[in-house]
Amino acid sequence: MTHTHHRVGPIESLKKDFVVLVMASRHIKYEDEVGRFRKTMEILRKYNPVNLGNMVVGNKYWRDEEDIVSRFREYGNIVHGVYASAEQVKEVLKELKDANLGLSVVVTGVYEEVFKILKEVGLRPHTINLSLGVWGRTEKLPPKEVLEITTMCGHCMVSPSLVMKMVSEIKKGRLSPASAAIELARPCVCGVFNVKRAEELLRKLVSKY
Amino acid sequence: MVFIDQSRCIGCGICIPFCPRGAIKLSPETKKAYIVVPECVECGTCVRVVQCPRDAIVGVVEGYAREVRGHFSDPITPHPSTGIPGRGTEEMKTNDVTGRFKRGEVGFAIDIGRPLVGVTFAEVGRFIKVLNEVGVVWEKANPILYLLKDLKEGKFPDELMNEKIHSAVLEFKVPISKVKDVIEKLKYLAETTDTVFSVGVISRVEPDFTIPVVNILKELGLEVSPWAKTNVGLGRPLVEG
Repeated sequence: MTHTHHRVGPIESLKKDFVVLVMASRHIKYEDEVGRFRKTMEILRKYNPVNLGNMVVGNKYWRDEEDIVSRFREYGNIVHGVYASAEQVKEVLKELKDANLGLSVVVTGVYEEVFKILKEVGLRPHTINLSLGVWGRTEKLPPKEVLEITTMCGHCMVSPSLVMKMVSEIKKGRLSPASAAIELARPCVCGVFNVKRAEELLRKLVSKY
Repeated sequence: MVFIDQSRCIGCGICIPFCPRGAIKLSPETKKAYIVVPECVECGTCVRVVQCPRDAIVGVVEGYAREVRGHFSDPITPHPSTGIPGRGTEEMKTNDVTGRFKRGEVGFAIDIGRPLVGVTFAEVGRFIKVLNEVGVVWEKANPILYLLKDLKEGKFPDELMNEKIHSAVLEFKVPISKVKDVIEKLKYLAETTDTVFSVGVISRVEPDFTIPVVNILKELGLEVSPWAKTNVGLGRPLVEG
């Protein structure tokens, strides 16, 4: 599952996009896993994530947020918090480190930025998954400005047609870019779609099309 | 299988842009929406998210092949073979506690069909057969391996070969000395496939924050994206080796 991977766009835009994923390995028996995830969610929520997701429940734009932060399986949970700044991620990691919950934490983002944060909070990268981009019949892909938005859902649940529909709704004055970004976040059930970045990318698309 | 109840649909078309496969159409004859069944990969987006004013979108489980499409296309349902939601495994996300990827080894996650183009099991099988020539070590927990009839030949059960899915992640590892061989096979697959694939390369990070595989990839003329997933080593008990 590489659902937070392979995002594309200009580096300055990518630098405002971070996903913090917290996961319990199925190979480890954690005592009170549910309690550990409730604590994790308390931390993720505290630093104003632009999206929040729980693989049991869904994302905060589709499901009730109280459910997202409290309802878990007995084992095998995965949660996500999405942030628009390095400062927020730094605070989240500091607290996760202090809480010492024993769960695996993965930060997806511009990795040189992530490494800087890790140095600042006294952590070390253990393993990395690099992206070599998309290979093969790339002429079948939507325009790159659309891909910058759709790739924020690695499971490809956000359709290019929906992006263009939102552009049209903004141009007609029926939706603001912020509301349209939330509309696009709903199909991304895991809650890894960055609505703040989507809002900025939609503004760019509206001026182009 | 998802279908649109023709007796309820009023042809408003609000569901059409939501389908990531473009499989919902409006019939010029009936003026009602319908699903192009061979193109639908059972991702569940329309059933979950569209606020149909007449509740005309209906999802029902119908047959093994359609069910398998859903397993590789709908992210929220745990896969029966892994017990976790999604198309892959825990891969490097829990490497701090599993030690699946060791120093000197390089992992690959090849997401075939992604983004947004899709793939058949027949094509996934062709990738497997070609990559076998390098002698890769497949991730045994991966859902694709669970379905295979013949790993060496990349054969799936006949009833699945032409089924289309959103994407399939192939996960394997090789010693770092074989990275070049894998890349050569991937270049060949890129030239001969009718779909797209996204390439992820997994490596342990050295204590000085360097990533051994990066120089090899650059020497091979490849562009490494600044975007990556980093396991920050907070899992316990920690596997250091």
